[in-house]
Amino acid sequence: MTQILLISPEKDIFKAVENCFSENQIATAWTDTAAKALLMLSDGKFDLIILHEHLQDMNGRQLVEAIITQNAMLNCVVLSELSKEDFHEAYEGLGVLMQFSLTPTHDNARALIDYMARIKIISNRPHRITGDTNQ
Amino acid sequence: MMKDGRIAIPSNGQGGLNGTRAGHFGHCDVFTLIDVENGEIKEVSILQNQEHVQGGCMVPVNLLAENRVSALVVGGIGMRPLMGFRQVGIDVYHDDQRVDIEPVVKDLIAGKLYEIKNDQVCGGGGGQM
Repeated sequence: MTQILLISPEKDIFKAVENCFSENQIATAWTDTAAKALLMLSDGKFDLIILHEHLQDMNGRQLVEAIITQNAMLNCVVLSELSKEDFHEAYEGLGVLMQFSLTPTHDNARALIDYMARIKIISNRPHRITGDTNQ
Repeated sequence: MMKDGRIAIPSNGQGGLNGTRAGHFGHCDVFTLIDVENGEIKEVSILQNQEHVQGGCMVPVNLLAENRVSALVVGGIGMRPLMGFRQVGIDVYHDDQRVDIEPVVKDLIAGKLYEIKNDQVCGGGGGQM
C-alpha cells in the first residue's frame, strides 16, 4: 500500500486530500515539524511527501534538500502560496513533483495520484539497447 | 584513471562515439554507453532515453542504474538527480565545454575529468555546453 507523509503546522488543512487518498487505498501519516518528519522518513516506509513550505524549524526548500540528501527517490509535493514563476525559481533543481495551494483540494489529490501513475508507467517501459551504428 | 566500467553520455540523435552530447540529460534522445576494460574502449552501445516529465528526474537515474552504468558525464545537473545518481552508485562527472562525445570519453578514461560537486548543481537538471 502506498504511504504518504503529510507535514504541516496544522493537520486540518489536509482533510480534503486525506479523504481522496483514503478512497484510493493510500495510507497517510501526519507530523508538524521537519525534524520529526526526517526521523519518520529514516525507516523508509513512505513513498511520497507532501509538505507545507512554512514549518517552525525549516522552510520548504531546506526540508526538500534534507529529504533528497537522505533519499533522492522520494517524491515531494510542496504547499506554497508562491506564483508559478516564483515557485519554479525557489525550488528548481530539486525535482519537486507538484505545487499545491496552502489548503489542498480533493482534485489536487486526484491529479497527484494520476501523475504518480504516469511516472510509474514511464519507469516500467522496457529499455532498448542497440549497437553504435556510427562507428 | 578509469580501468573498468560503463560510461553513459547523454547524446543527441542516434548518439554513438562520433556523435554529439545533449545539454540536458533528462531530455536527451539517447544515452551512448561505453564499456571500458583495462582502460580501453571495449564496446559502444545506444540506450534509448525514457519520456521526461516534470518531477520525474529519477526516471533516468533508475534507467542508467538498471543498465549497470558506473559513470555519467553531464554539462549540468540538478541537486535531486545528482543525489539520486550518487545513491545508486553512479559517479557524475562534469564537462560543460565540449559537444563531441569521443574526446570527453577519452578524458574521463584518462582521469582528466572532475566529479561534480554539490555547489555546482543547477536548476532543472540542465546545463549548457
